[in-house]
Amino acid sequence: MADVPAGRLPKPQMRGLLISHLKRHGAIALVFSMGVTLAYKLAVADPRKRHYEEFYKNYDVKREFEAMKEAGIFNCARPSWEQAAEED
Amino acid sequence: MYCWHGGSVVKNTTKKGRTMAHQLMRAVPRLVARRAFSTSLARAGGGAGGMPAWQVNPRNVYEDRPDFPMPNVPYVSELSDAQKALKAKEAGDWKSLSDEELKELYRLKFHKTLAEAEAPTGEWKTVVGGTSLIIALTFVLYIIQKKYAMPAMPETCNYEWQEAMMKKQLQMRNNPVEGLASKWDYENNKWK
Repeated sequence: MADVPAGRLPKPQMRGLLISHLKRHGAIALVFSMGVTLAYKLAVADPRKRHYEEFYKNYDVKREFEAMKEAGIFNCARPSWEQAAEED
Repeated sequence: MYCWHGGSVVKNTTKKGRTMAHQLMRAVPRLVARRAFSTSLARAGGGAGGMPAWQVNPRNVYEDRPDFPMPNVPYVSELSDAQKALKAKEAGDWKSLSDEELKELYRLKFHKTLAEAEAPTGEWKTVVGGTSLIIALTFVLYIIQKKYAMPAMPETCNYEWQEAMMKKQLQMRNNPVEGLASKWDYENNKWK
């Protein structure tokens, strides 16, 4: 056996493979999931709350209703520029 | 008596000792002498060793598997005289074997080394190429049938109709917080 390089390979881990796998990957999973949660909060949840706050800060529902009515989308609240048809 | 595995049998003795397994073991040398079954089950071809292909146990056929690198049978099971001499030498002290003899013994037992078996084959290029070709053909067929075979789209799908739909959505303030109407500037009548 002359062409085998001198020195031995390091002995691999023989026991406790599952628990060491679980520890390592459990730690990675914990860090990763917490990171994803934080990223979601920063990128999605907080901006959405801000948008709603800003929208309702100066929201006047009567003004919005009048604008929608004048656009002519309602069936029972017709815009002011539409002449109601005379019915016999 | 036909013995398909041709190897060791777990002895299941009764009080008399004349069990099926016992008789089998006694019958094996007779059957080997008469070439009633193949000693080289690595050749799964029909009739080669007297064994038709459908009677060969697939678990006793040699295979290089990267995920299970322990085949049940050696690669070469019919040895020439030189190989038999080498096998006899292997029965002795291993330090007396030279490097070439060790490699020869390995090649008798295995077809490829693990490194050779796991080496990349480039098969993925064939797979990707073939799949892309078939998908491209699908596109071609779809375009042909859209142009010549499919009926006209309903008029509600044309551009003016879609424009009118979006205008209506803006007028009714559809999704005013984060969606469509939030992107429209109502004072200046244009997109933000």
